[in-house]
Amino acid sequence: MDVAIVGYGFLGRNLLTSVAEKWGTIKAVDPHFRLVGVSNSTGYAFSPEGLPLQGVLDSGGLDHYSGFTLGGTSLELLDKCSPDLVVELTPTNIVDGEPGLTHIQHSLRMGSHVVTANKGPLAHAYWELNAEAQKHGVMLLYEATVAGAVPLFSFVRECLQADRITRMLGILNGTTNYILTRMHFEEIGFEAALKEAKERGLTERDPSIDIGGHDAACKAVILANAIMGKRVKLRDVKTRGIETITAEAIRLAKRSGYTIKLVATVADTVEVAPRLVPVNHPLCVHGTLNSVYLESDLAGELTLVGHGAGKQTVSAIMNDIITVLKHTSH
Amino acid sequence: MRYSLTFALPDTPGQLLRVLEPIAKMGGNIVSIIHDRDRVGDVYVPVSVVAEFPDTLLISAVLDELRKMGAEVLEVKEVFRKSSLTVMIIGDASISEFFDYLDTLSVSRMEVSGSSSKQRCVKVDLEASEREVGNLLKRLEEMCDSHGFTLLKPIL
Repeated sequence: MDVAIVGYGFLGRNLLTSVAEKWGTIKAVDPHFRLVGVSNSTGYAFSPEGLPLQGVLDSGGLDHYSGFTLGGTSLELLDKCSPDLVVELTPTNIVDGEPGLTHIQHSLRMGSHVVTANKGPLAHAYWELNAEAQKHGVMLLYEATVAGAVPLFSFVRECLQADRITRMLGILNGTTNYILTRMHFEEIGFEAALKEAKERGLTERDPSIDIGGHDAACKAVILANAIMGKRVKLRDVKTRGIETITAEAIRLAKRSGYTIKLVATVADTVEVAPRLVPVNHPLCVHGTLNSVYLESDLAGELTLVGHGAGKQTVSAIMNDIITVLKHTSH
Repeated sequence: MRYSLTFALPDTPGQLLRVLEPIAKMGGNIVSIIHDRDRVGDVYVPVSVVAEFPDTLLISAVLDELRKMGAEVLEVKEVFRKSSLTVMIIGDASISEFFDYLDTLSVSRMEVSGSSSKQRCVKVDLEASEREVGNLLKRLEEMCDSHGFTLLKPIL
Protein backbone atom coordinates (compact mmCIF):
# COMPACT_ATOMS: atom_id res chain seq x y z
CA MET A 1 0.00 0.00 0.00
CA ASP A 2 1.23 3.48 -0.91
CA VAL A 3 0.84 5.97 1.93
CA ALA A 4 1.17 9.77 2.07
CA ILE A 5 1.37 11.89 5.20
CA VAL A 6 -0.13 15.36 4.89
CA GLY A 7 1.10 17.56 7.73
CA TYR A 8 4.56 17.14 9.15
CA GLY A 9 4.45 18.89 12.50
CA PHE A 10 4.78 17.35 15.97
CA LEU A 11 2.44 14.43 15.23
CA GLY A 12 3.80 13.84 11.71
CA ARG A 13 7.38 13.58 12.97
CA ASN A 14 6.40 11.28 15.84
CA LEU A 15 4.34 9.15 13.49
CA LEU A 16 7.26 8.75 11.11
CA THR A 17 9.50 7.76 14.03
CA SER A 18 6.96 5.14 15.13
CA VAL A 19 6.52 3.82 11.58
CA ALA A 20 10.31 3.36 11.42
CA GLU A 21 10.34 1.66 14.84
CA LYS A 22 7.39 -0.60 14.01
CA TRP A 23 8.47 -1.33 10.45
CA GLY A 24 8.43 -5.09 11.08
CA THR A 25 4.89 -5.02 12.47
CA ILE A 26 3.65 -2.98 9.51
CA LYS A 27 5.41 -5.11 6.91
CA ALA A 28 3.99 -8.27 8.48
CA VAL A 29 0.50 -6.92 7.73
CA ASP A 30 1.33 -5.39 4.35
CA PRO A 31 4.62 -6.40 2.71
CA HIS A 32 4.06 -3.72 0.03
CA PHE A 33 3.76 -0.80 2.46
CA ARG A 34 5.60 2.30 1.20
CA LEU A 35 5.65 5.91 2.30
CA VAL A 36 5.50 7.71 -1.03
CA GLY A 37 4.97 11.29 0.08
CA VAL A 38 5.13 13.70 3.01
CA SER A 39 4.01 17.33 2.91
CA ASN A 40 4.06 20.35 5.18
CA SER A 41 2.85 23.91 4.75
CA THR A 42 5.80 24.89 2.56
CA GLY A 43 6.20 21.94 0.21
CA TYR A 44 6.56 18.17 -0.04
CA ALA A 45 8.88 15.21 -0.47
CA PHE A 46 7.82 12.56 -2.98
CA SER A 47 9.22 9.29 -4.24
CA PRO A 48 7.13 6.74 -6.18
CA GLU A 49 9.54 4.01 -5.00
CA GLY A 50 9.06 4.97 -1.36
CA LEU A 51 10.86 7.57 0.76
CA PRO A 52 13.70 6.43 3.03
CA LEU A 53 12.16 6.89 6.49
CA GLN A 54 15.44 7.34 8.29
CA GLY A 55 16.65 9.73 5.61
CA VAL A 56 13.62 11.98 6.13
CA LEU A 57 13.92 11.76 9.91
CA ASP A 58 17.64 12.52 9.88
CA SER A 59 17.30 15.52 7.56
CA GLY A 60 16.54 17.83 10.49
CA GLY A 61 13.18 19.01 9.17
CA LEU A 62 11.31 18.10 6.01
CA ASP A 63 12.38 21.35 4.32
CA HIS A 64 15.99 20.20 4.57
CA TYR A 65 15.39 16.81 2.97
CA SER A 66 17.29 16.60 -0.31
CA GLY A 67 14.23 15.65 -2.38
CA PHE A 68 12.02 18.43 -0.94
CA THR A 69 9.92 20.42 -3.46
CA LEU A 70 9.65 23.92 -2.04
CA GLY A 71 6.35 25.65 -2.82
CA GLY A 72 4.49 22.48 -3.71
CA THR A 73 1.08 22.01 -2.11
CA SER A 74 -0.37 19.00 -0.34
CA LEU A 75 -3.07 18.65 -3.02
CA GLU A 76 -0.37 18.58 -5.71
CA LEU A 77 1.39 15.82 -3.81
CA LEU A 78 -1.82 13.80 -3.53
CA ASP A 79 -2.50 14.14 -7.27
CA LYS A 80 1.07 13.20 -8.06
CA CYS A 81 1.31 10.05 -5.90
CA SER A 82 -2.36 8.86 -5.82
CA PRO A 83 -1.79 7.10 -2.49
CA ASP A 84 -3.95 4.22 -1.29
CA LEU A 85 -3.98 5.81 2.15
CA VAL A 86 -3.68 9.44 3.20
CA VAL A 87 -2.78 10.29 6.80
CA GLU A 88 -4.06 13.84 7.38
CA LEU A 89 -2.28 15.54 10.28
CA THR A 90 -2.47 19.26 9.56
CA PRO A 91 -3.28 21.56 12.51
CA THR A 92 -6.90 21.81 13.60
CA ASN A 93 -8.87 24.81 12.47
CA ILE A 94 -12.12 24.92 14.42
CA VAL A 95 -13.53 27.83 12.39
CA ASP A 96 -14.01 26.01 9.08
CA GLY A 97 -11.95 22.81 9.31
CA GLU A 98 -9.52 23.94 6.59
CA PRO A 99 -7.15 23.01 5.08
CA GLY A 100 -7.75 19.52 6.49
CA LEU A 101 -11.32 19.39 5.22
CA THR A 102 -10.23 19.93 1.61
CA HIS A 103 -7.37 17.42 1.97
CA ILE A 104 -9.74 14.75 3.28
CA GLN A 105 -12.47 15.45 0.70
CA HIS A 106 -9.90 15.36 -2.11
CA SER A 107 -8.40 12.10 -0.85
CA LEU A 108 -11.77 10.35 -0.47
CA ARG A 109 -12.88 11.50 -3.93
CA MET A 110 -9.74 10.06 -5.49
CA GLY A 111 -10.48 6.74 -3.77
CA SER A 112 -7.88 6.91 -1.00
CA HIS A 113 -8.53 5.65 2.51
CA VAL A 114 -8.08 8.38 5.10
CA VAL A 115 -6.75 8.30 8.66
CA THR A 116 -6.79 11.61 10.48
CA ALA A 117 -6.00 13.18 13.83
CA ASN A 118 -7.53 16.48 12.72
CA LYS A 119 -10.82 17.13 14.54
CA GLY A 120 -11.74 20.28 12.59
CA PRO A 121 -12.97 18.54 9.42
CA LEU A 122 -14.88 15.90 11.42
CA ALA A 123 -16.53 18.49 13.68
CA HIS A 124 -17.65 20.49 10.63
CA ALA A 125 -18.62 17.79 8.16
CA TYR A 126 -18.84 14.38 9.87
CA TRP A 127 -21.78 13.03 7.88
CA GLU A 128 -20.70 14.57 4.58
CA LEU A 129 -17.23 13.00 4.85
CA ASN A 130 -18.65 9.63 5.83
CA ALA A 131 -21.03 9.70 2.88
CA GLU A 132 -18.11 10.51 0.60
CA ALA A 133 -16.07 7.61 2.02
CA GLN A 134 -18.99 5.25 1.57
CA LYS A 135 -19.59 6.45 -1.99
CA HIS A 136 -16.01 5.66 -2.95
CA GLY A 137 -15.80 2.44 -0.94
CA VAL A 138 -12.93 3.62 1.26
CA MET A 139 -12.34 3.85 5.01
CA LEU A 140 -12.28 7.06 7.04
CA LEU A 141 -10.80 6.52 10.51
CA TYR A 142 -10.30 9.25 13.12
CA GLU A 143 -9.40 7.58 16.43
CA ALA A 144 -6.91 10.31 17.37
CA THR A 145 -9.41 13.16 17.00
CA VAL A 146 -10.99 12.62 20.42
CA ALA A 147 -9.10 11.83 23.64
CA GLY A 148 -5.78 11.29 21.82
CA ALA A 149 -4.40 7.85 22.62
CA VAL A 150 -7.61 6.53 24.20
CA PRO A 151 -8.97 3.86 21.83
CA LEU A 152 -12.54 5.04 22.09
CA PHE A 153 -14.02 4.61 18.62
CA SER A 154 -12.29 1.25 18.07
CA PHE A 155 -13.52 0.11 21.48
CA VAL A 156 -17.13 0.97 20.73
CA ARG A 157 -16.89 -0.36 17.15
CA GLU A 158 -15.28 -3.67 18.10
CA CYS A 159 -16.34 -4.37 21.67
CA LEU A 160 -19.82 -2.86 22.02
CA GLN A 161 -21.34 -4.02 18.75
CA ALA A 162 -24.71 -4.91 20.26
CA ASP A 163 -24.82 -2.07 22.78
CA ARG A 164 -26.69 1.18 22.47
CA ILE A 165 -24.78 4.05 24.05
CA THR A 166 -27.24 6.18 25.99
CA ARG A 167 -25.01 8.86 27.51
CA MET A 168 -21.39 9.93 27.42
CA LEU A 169 -19.46 12.21 29.74
CA GLY A 170 -15.93 13.21 28.88
CA ILE A 171 -12.97 15.17 30.14
CA LEU A 172 -11.67 15.82 26.65
CA ASN A 173 -9.30 18.76 26.97
CA GLY A 174 -5.96 18.15 28.68
CA THR A 175 -5.11 21.85 29.02
CA THR A 176 -8.19 22.79 31.02
CA ASN A 177 -7.84 19.62 33.06
CA TYR A 178 -4.26 20.58 33.88
CA ILE A 179 -5.35 24.10 34.92
CA LEU A 180 -8.22 22.82 37.09
CA THR A 181 -5.99 20.15 38.62
CA ARG A 182 -3.38 22.75 39.61
CA MET A 183 -6.13 24.93 41.07
CA HIS A 184 -7.50 21.95 43.03
CA PHE A 185 -4.25 20.61 44.49
CA GLU A 186 -2.08 23.73 44.71
CA GLU A 187 -4.94 26.14 45.50
CA ILE A 188 -3.65 28.67 42.99
CA GLY A 189 -5.84 31.04 40.98
CA PHE A 190 -6.98 30.58 37.41
CA GLU A 191 -4.57 33.14 35.91
CA ALA A 192 -1.53 31.58 37.64
CA ALA A 193 -2.54 28.09 36.51
CA LEU A 194 -3.12 29.30 32.92
CA LYS A 195 0.33 30.97 32.90
CA GLU A 196 1.87 27.67 34.02
CA ALA A 197 0.03 25.77 31.28
CA LYS A 198 1.30 28.27 28.69
CA GLU A 199 4.87 27.96 29.97
CA ARG A 200 4.65 24.19 29.65
CA GLY A 201 3.43 24.50 26.06
CA LEU A 202 0.08 22.93 26.84
CA THR A 203 -2.18 25.60 25.35
CA GLU A 204 -3.19 26.14 21.73
CA ARG A 205 -1.75 29.19 19.97
CA ASP A 206 -5.04 30.87 20.89
CA PRO A 207 -5.66 29.70 24.50
CA SER A 208 -9.35 30.67 24.32
CA ILE A 209 -9.90 27.58 22.14
CA ASP A 210 -9.06 25.44 25.17
CA ILE A 211 -10.29 27.49 28.10
CA GLY A 212 -13.45 28.64 26.32
CA GLY A 213 -14.48 24.97 25.85
CA HIS A 214 -14.38 25.15 22.02
CA ASP A 215 -11.85 22.34 21.60
CA ALA A 216 -13.95 20.08 23.84
CA ALA A 217 -17.09 21.12 21.93
CA CYS A 218 -15.54 19.94 18.63
CA LYS A 219 -14.79 16.58 20.23
CA ALA A 220 -18.29 16.36 21.71
CA VAL A 221 -19.74 16.89 18.21
CA ILE A 222 -17.64 14.02 16.84
CA LEU A 223 -18.71 11.75 19.72
CA ALA A 224 -22.38 12.66 19.29
CA ASN A 225 -22.31 11.94 15.56
CA ALA A 226 -19.94 8.97 15.45
CA ILE A 227 -20.99 7.07 18.55
CA MET A 228 -24.58 8.09 19.15
CA GLY A 229 -25.63 8.61 15.54
CA LYS A 230 -26.85 12.15 16.12
CA ARG A 231 -26.87 14.91 13.51
CA VAL A 232 -25.12 17.55 15.55
CA LYS A 233 -23.16 20.59 14.39
CA LEU A 234 -20.84 22.75 16.45
CA ARG A 235 -23.50 25.46 16.70
CA ASP A 236 -25.81 23.00 18.51
CA VAL A 237 -23.43 22.59 21.45
CA LYS A 238 -24.07 24.80 24.47
CA THR A 239 -20.49 25.71 25.33
CA ARG A 240 -19.12 27.36 28.45
CA GLY A 241 -15.49 27.53 29.44
CA ILE A 242 -13.57 27.66 32.70
CA GLU A 243 -12.59 31.36 32.68
CA THR A 244 -14.96 32.20 35.54
CA ILE A 245 -13.79 29.43 37.88
CA THR A 246 -12.18 30.96 40.94
CA ALA A 247 -9.83 29.48 43.55
CA GLU A 248 -12.64 29.99 46.09
CA ALA A 249 -15.05 27.95 43.98
CA ILE A 250 -12.55 25.11 43.81
CA ARG A 251 -12.00 25.28 47.60
CA LEU A 252 -15.75 25.25 48.27
CA ALA A 253 -16.26 22.27 45.95
CA LYS A 254 -13.32 20.44 47.52
CA ARG A 255 -14.76 20.81 51.04
CA SER A 256 -17.85 18.89 49.91
CA GLY A 257 -15.99 16.06 48.16
CA TYR A 258 -16.20 17.51 44.65
CA THR A 259 -13.80 18.97 42.19
CA ILE A 260 -14.56 21.15 39.18
CA LYS A 261 -13.87 19.73 35.70
CA LEU A 262 -14.70 20.83 32.19
CA VAL A 263 -17.09 18.08 31.13
CA ALA A 264 -18.56 17.35 27.71
CA THR A 265 -21.99 15.73 28.02
CA VAL A 266 -23.52 13.88 25.10
CA ALA A 267 -27.07 12.75 25.81
CA ASP A 268 -30.40 14.18 24.57
CA THR A 269 -28.50 17.44 24.20
CA VAL A 270 -24.79 18.13 23.76
CA GLU A 271 -23.12 20.46 26.23
CA VAL A 272 -19.65 21.48 27.37
CA ALA A 273 -19.48 23.20 30.75
CA PRO A 274 -17.58 23.21 34.02
CA ARG A 275 -19.29 20.68 36.30
CA LEU A 276 -19.07 19.41 39.85
CA VAL A 277 -17.48 15.95 39.74
CA PRO A 278 -17.28 13.80 42.90
CA VAL A 279 -13.59 13.15 43.58
CA ASN A 280 -14.24 9.40 43.71
CA HIS A 281 -16.10 9.26 40.37
CA PRO A 282 -14.28 7.23 37.67
CA LEU A 283 -14.47 10.23 35.31
CA CYS A 284 -12.37 12.27 37.76
CA VAL A 285 -8.82 12.16 36.37
CA HIS A 286 -6.14 14.74 36.93
CA GLY A 287 -3.34 16.53 35.11
CA THR A 288 -3.47 16.38 31.34
CA LEU A 289 -5.26 13.00 31.32
CA ASN A 290 -8.53 12.56 29.46
CA SER A 291 -11.39 10.28 30.44
CA VAL A 292 -14.60 9.14 28.82
CA TYR A 293 -17.49 7.64 30.79
CA LEU A 294 -20.03 5.69 28.74
CA GLU A 295 -23.44 4.43 29.71
CA SER A 296 -24.85 1.66 27.55
CA ASP A 297 -27.91 -0.56 27.66
CA LEU A 298 -26.04 -3.86 27.96
CA ALA A 299 -22.62 -3.15 29.47
CA GLY A 300 -23.82 -0.46 31.88
CA GLU A 301 -21.12 2.03 32.83
CA LEU A 302 -17.63 1.95 31.33
CA THR A 303 -14.74 4.38 31.70
CA LEU A 304 -11.70 4.81 29.49
CA VAL A 305 -8.73 6.88 30.65
CA GLY A 306 -5.53 7.92 28.88
CA HIS A 307 -3.35 10.60 27.35
CA GLY A 308 -5.44 13.07 25.37
CA ALA A 309 -2.55 14.69 23.52
CA GLY A 310 1.20 14.43 22.98
CA LYS A 311 3.20 11.75 21.27
CA GLN A 312 1.04 8.98 22.76
CA THR A 313 -1.60 10.05 20.20
CA VAL A 314 0.55 8.29 17.60
CA SER A 315 -0.71 4.99 19.06
CA ALA A 316 -4.24 5.82 17.84
CA ILE A 317 -3.01 6.87 14.37
CA MET A 318 -0.88 3.72 14.03
CA ASN A 319 -3.80 1.53 15.04
CA ASP A 320 -6.01 3.19 12.42
CA ILE A 321 -3.32 2.69 9.77
CA ILE A 322 -2.97 -1.00 10.64
CA THR A 323 -6.78 -1.35 10.64
CA VAL A 324 -6.83 -0.03 7.05
CA LEU A 325 -3.94 -2.31 6.05
CA LYS A 326 -5.69 -5.36 7.52
CA HIS A 327 -9.00 -4.43 5.95
CA THR A 328 -7.50 -4.06 2.48
CA SER A 329 -5.35 -7.19 2.71
CA HIS A 330 -8.48 -9.41 3.09
CA MET B 1 -44.66 5.13 40.89
CA ARG B 2 -44.86 4.76 44.65
CA TYR B 3 -48.21 4.93 46.47
CA SER B 4 -49.29 4.81 50.09
CA LEU B 5 -52.68 3.14 50.72
CA THR B 6 -54.30 3.35 54.15
CA PHE B 7 -56.94 0.76 55.04
CA ALA B 8 -59.30 0.22 57.95
CA LEU B 9 -59.04 -3.56 58.33
CA PRO B 10 -61.15 -5.75 60.62
CA ASP B 11 -58.95 -6.98 63.47
CA THR B 12 -59.23 -10.63 62.48
CA PRO B 13 -56.63 -13.06 61.03
CA GLY B 14 -56.10 -13.03 57.23
CA GLN B 15 -57.42 -9.48 56.56
CA LEU B 16 -54.03 -8.00 55.66
CA LEU B 17 -53.21 -10.84 53.28
CA ARG B 18 -56.59 -10.27 51.57
CA VAL B 19 -55.83 -6.63 50.65
CA LEU B 20 -52.25 -7.40 49.65
CA GLU B 21 -53.35 -9.91 47.02
CA PRO B 22 -54.75 -7.41 44.45
CA ILE B 23 -51.65 -5.23 44.93
CA ALA B 24 -49.33 -8.15 44.20
CA LYS B 25 -51.51 -9.31 41.30
CA MET B 26 -51.05 -5.94 39.57
CA GLY B 27 -47.27 -6.11 39.89
CA GLY B 28 -47.07 -3.92 43.00
CA ASN B 29 -43.88 -4.30 45.00
CA ILE B 30 -44.55 -3.84 48.72
CA VAL B 31 -42.11 -1.37 50.26
CA SER B 32 -43.49 -1.14 53.81
CA ILE B 33 -46.48 -2.07 55.98
CA ILE B 34 -47.37 -0.13 59.11
CA HIS B 35 -49.92 -1.48 61.59
CA ASP B 36 -51.34 0.79 64.22
CA ARG B 37 -52.43 -1.66 66.92
CA ASP B 38 -52.02 0.62 69.91
CA ARG B 39 -55.69 0.84 70.53
CA VAL B 40 -56.37 -2.71 71.73
CA GLY B 41 -59.97 -3.80 71.43
CA ASP B 42 -60.84 -1.69 68.40
CA VAL B 43 -62.82 -3.56 65.77
CA TYR B 44 -60.91 -1.96 62.91
CA VAL B 45 -57.13 -1.43 62.68
CA PRO B 46 -55.58 1.28 60.46
CA VAL B 47 -52.92 -0.22 58.18
CA SER B 48 -50.73 1.74 55.76
CA VAL B 49 -49.17 -0.10 52.83
CA VAL B 50 -46.55 1.57 50.63
CA ALA B 51 -46.10 -0.12 47.26
CA GLU B 52 -44.21 0.59 44.06
CA PHE B 53 -46.11 0.15 40.77
CA PRO B 54 -44.50 -0.06 37.34
CA ASP B 55 -47.29 2.05 35.84
CA THR B 56 -49.55 4.72 37.30
CA LEU B 57 -52.65 3.18 35.63
CA LEU B 58 -52.26 0.01 37.69
CA ILE B 59 -53.17 1.78 40.93
CA SER B 60 -56.68 2.46 39.55
CA ALA B 61 -57.12 -1.24 38.77
CA VAL B 62 -55.99 -2.14 42.30
CA LEU B 63 -58.45 0.31 43.84
CA ASP B 64 -61.32 -1.08 41.71
CA GLU B 65 -60.47 -4.59 42.87
CA LEU B 66 -60.26 -3.51 46.52
CA ARG B 67 -63.62 -1.76 46.29
CA LYS B 68 -65.24 -4.83 44.72
CA MET B 69 -64.06 -7.01 47.59
CA GLY B 70 -65.41 -4.49 50.12
CA ALA B 71 -62.09 -3.30 51.56
CA GLU B 72 -62.30 0.09 53.23
CA VAL B 73 -59.61 2.33 51.73
CA LEU B 74 -59.23 5.46 53.86
CA GLU B 75 -56.55 7.26 51.85
CA VAL B 76 -54.47 6.91 48.70
CA LYS B 77 -51.56 9.21 48.00
CA GLU B 78 -48.54 9.22 45.77
CA VAL B 79 -45.21 9.14 47.59
CA PHE B 80 -42.54 11.33 46.04
CA ARG B 81 -38.99 10.29 46.66
CA LYS B 82 -36.74 13.21 47.48
CA SER B 83 -33.39 13.74 45.84
CA SER B 84 -30.75 16.02 47.19
CA LEU B 85 -28.70 17.94 44.74
CA THR B 86 -25.63 20.13 45.15
CA VAL B 87 -24.93 22.98 42.75
CA MET B 88 -22.56 25.91 42.84
CA ILE B 89 -23.05 29.40 41.47
CA ILE B 90 -20.28 31.89 40.73
CA GLY B 91 -21.26 35.47 40.11
CA ASP B 92 -20.88 39.11 40.88
CA ALA B 93 -23.62 39.51 43.50
CA SER B 94 -24.02 40.14 47.22
CA ILE B 95 -25.08 37.42 49.65
CA SER B 96 -28.54 38.98 50.06
CA GLU B 97 -28.96 39.10 46.28
CA PHE B 98 -28.15 35.38 46.07
CA PHE B 99 -30.71 34.72 48.83
CA ASP B 100 -33.33 36.63 46.86
CA TYR B 101 -32.58 34.83 43.59
CA LEU B 102 -32.75 31.42 45.24
CA ASP B 103 -35.77 32.25 47.38
CA THR B 104 -38.36 30.32 45.39
CA LEU B 105 -36.21 27.19 45.03
CA SER B 106 -36.16 24.33 47.54
CA VAL B 107 -32.87 25.21 49.21
CA SER B 108 -31.98 23.07 52.21
CA ARG B 109 -28.50 24.54 52.85
CA MET B 110 -26.35 27.32 51.49
CA GLU B 111 -22.64 27.99 51.93
CA VAL B 112 -21.08 31.22 50.74
CA SER B 113 -17.38 31.66 50.10
CA GLY B 114 -15.43 34.64 51.41
CA SER B 115 -15.09 37.19 48.67
CA SER B 116 -11.38 37.72 48.09
CA SER B 117 -12.29 38.40 44.48
CA LYS B 118 -15.19 40.30 42.93
CA GLN B 119 -16.80 37.01 42.05
CA ARG B 120 -18.67 35.44 44.94
CA CYS B 121 -19.26 31.70 45.09
CA VAL B 122 -22.23 29.93 46.62
CA LYS B 123 -22.74 26.23 47.20
CA VAL B 124 -26.40 25.32 47.35
CA ASP B 125 -27.93 22.05 48.54
CA LEU B 126 -31.37 21.57 47.07
CA GLU B 127 -34.09 19.06 47.81
CA ALA B 128 -36.64 18.01 45.25
CA SER B 129 -38.67 15.01 44.23
CA GLU B 130 -36.99 12.91 41.54
CA ARG B 131 -39.42 14.10 38.88
CA GLU B 132 -38.82 17.77 39.76
CA VAL B 133 -35.00 17.68 39.51
CA GLY B 134 -34.88 18.42 35.77
CA ASN B 135 -37.30 21.32 36.12
CA LEU B 136 -35.39 22.71 39.10
CA LEU B 137 -32.09 22.65 37.19
CA LYS B 138 -33.76 24.36 34.24
CA ARG B 139 -35.03 27.16 36.48
CA LEU B 140 -31.58 27.55 38.01
CA GLU B 141 -30.00 27.69 34.56
CA GLU B 142 -32.44 30.39 33.46
CA MET B 143 -31.78 32.39 36.61
CA CYS B 144 -27.99 32.11 36.17
CA ASP B 145 -28.14 32.95 32.45
CA SER B 146 -30.24 36.04 33.10
CA HIS B 147 -27.79 37.36 35.72
CA GLY B 148 -24.61 36.31 33.93
CA PHE B 149 -23.67 33.80 36.66
CA THR B 150 -21.79 30.54 36.14
CA LEU B 151 -23.81 27.53 37.24
CA LEU B 152 -21.90 24.39 38.15
CA LYS B 153 -24.22 21.40 37.97
CA PRO B 154 -23.19 18.01 39.31
CA ILE B 155 -22.71 15.13 36.89
CA LEU B 156 -25.84 13.19 37.80
